[in-house]
Amino acid sequence: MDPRVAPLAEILRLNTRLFHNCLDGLSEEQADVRPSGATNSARFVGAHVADSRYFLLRLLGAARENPLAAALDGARGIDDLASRPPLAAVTAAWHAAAQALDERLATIGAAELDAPSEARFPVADRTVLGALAFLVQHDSYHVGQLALLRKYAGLPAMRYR
Amino acid sequence: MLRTVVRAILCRELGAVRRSVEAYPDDASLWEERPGLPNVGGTLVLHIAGNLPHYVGAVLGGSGYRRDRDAEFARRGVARDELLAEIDEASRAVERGLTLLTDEALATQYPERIAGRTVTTGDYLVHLACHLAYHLGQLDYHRRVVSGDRRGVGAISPADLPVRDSAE
Repeated sequence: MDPRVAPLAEILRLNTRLFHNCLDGLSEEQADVRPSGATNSARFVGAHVADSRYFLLRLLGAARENPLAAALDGARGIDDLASRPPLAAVTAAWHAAAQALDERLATIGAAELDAPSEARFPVADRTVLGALAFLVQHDSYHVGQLALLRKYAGLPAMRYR
Repeated sequence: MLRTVVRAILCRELGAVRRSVEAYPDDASLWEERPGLPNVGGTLVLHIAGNLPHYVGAVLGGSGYRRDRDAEFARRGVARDELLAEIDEASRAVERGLTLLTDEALATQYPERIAGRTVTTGDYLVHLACHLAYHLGQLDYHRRVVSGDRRGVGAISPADLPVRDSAE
């Protein structure tokens, strides 16, 4: 593994554990709880951040079909969801992407990381590595929100281990 | 390269923390507790503003900063201006600490053991960036809940990263 990728891959693995711990024991009803109309639900946040992992896979040249694509198609917010994917589907989509990411990051080479990214980020580090770093931060940002939503739904605090 | 990326990301996220604090309707709402929400915005800001000056400023940069982690979670009612000043100090600590750090040092052992483990400085810097993003997401949700304002503050925005077209 390229040494620049190693800590990012480790964070992605950590986030997979935290993602699981955030949703562990959450019922379908609790997954729709929103602290206010200004926030999203755990179901939406989970589906969104899982979707972003499929986007990342595409950027890394390892595209996979996103099983949540139909539900999320064109949705810019929770009110636009075409359908509510069951929590099990969200979790399964996440884990499939996580495994594919782990495998891809183990083999991606330096030249591929330094290549220009196809991501349409307007003003950014335009390399594939830059896009990867950006999306790892995005991952962590939403996992933090999932931890908050879990607690708000009345479940014990997310476990770190 | 990692040092440059981490510095850019930490500074970007701290900028979003600052904008989040400014977006609260008033000082009191930063400390408004809501049933079920684990930490109020003010506490999250104090935690962020204590974490980075310690791990980056003091441990890596030798700033002499003395962290009081218990106070980060115990203090209440700190004024917005004071919180903003602490965020700005954290930003300066990151700038100073990472400017002093060499690229070679990233592969060396981080000077403190973390959760009982020995880690490299580079790995720990990435962890700190993710820790910041994790709590930034929570700060955003606390602000949205207490203000009812669903507008974001442009957090995790690629537009806030420096332009760089190819590898250094």
